[in-house]
Amino acid sequence: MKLNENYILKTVAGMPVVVPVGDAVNNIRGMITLNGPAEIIWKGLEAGKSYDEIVSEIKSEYDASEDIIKKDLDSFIEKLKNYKILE
Amino acid sequence: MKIKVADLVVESDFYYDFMLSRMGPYYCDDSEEADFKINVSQQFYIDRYAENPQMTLGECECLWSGGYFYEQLTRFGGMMLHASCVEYEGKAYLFSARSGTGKSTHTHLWLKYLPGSRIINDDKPAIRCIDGVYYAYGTPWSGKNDESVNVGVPIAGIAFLSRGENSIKRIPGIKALELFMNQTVRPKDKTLMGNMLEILNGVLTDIPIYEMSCDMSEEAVKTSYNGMKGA
Repeated sequence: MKLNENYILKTVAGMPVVVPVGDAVNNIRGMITLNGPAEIIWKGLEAGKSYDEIVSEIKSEYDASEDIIKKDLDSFIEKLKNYKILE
Repeated sequence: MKIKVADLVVESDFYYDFMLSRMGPYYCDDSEEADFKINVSQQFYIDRYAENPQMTLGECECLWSGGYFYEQLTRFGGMMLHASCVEYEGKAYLFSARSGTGKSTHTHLWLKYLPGSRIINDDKPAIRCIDGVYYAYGTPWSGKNDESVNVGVPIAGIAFLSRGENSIKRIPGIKALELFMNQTVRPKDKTLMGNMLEILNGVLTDIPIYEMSCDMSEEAVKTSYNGMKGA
């Protein structure tokens, strides 16, 4: 799993946002706002962490079962793949 | 030639009257060291003109040299906001909206009803943070009518305009993020975009941001001035 490099994550006015740069501006217009778990996932993918590492990182921050975390993680990863943000 | 814009020394060649005729207040001594160079060739403007025949060559030079300037500005704590900026009693008030909404109409009502006010830049002011203070600057890139002054004025507030009954309310910075992103030059370069997001973070945290609707009456000026002048 590799994040496309043409995206940049920054926290602006308290909100984590992902903004496309370079060629990605033709793919996503505007920007993507992330919630807390999504920010952990994004940073994890950026740092090249494994699926299981990301799951346990979310688990340490949020009070949710592993099943629910994995379901959410899978659906977020699928969305990122659909938009060709994750390759 | 070298010009001084937003307190930055910029080296640039200009080729067409549209920009050249605006340079008077911005020329600076050639011995000053340039902060950066606007690295765009005349051929680049000619190519853009070929793609955009509805524009003049001078307008192409203005749009793309301005785009270059405002992207580089992010390296110096600054960014552009598509806005009309008016100064009154030593403070700058910015009114942003998509083209055709009436931001310039609104600031020109200030000139009429608030004597002593003046336009700092009618279309694309530079915002720059220096030592923790946010200033609005006039620049030679100011839209069709070259209404701009080469000064920096501390910002009182920024309002996003729509047409309607006169009302104004302060909004949380985060609500204005998308409005800002839609009314600025978004650098395609990752480092420059990172700079811009950093600056935006400061702007949206430190400068009061408003949502305002207004008509073309004197009441509209009272609404914005009273709403934004602060304590």
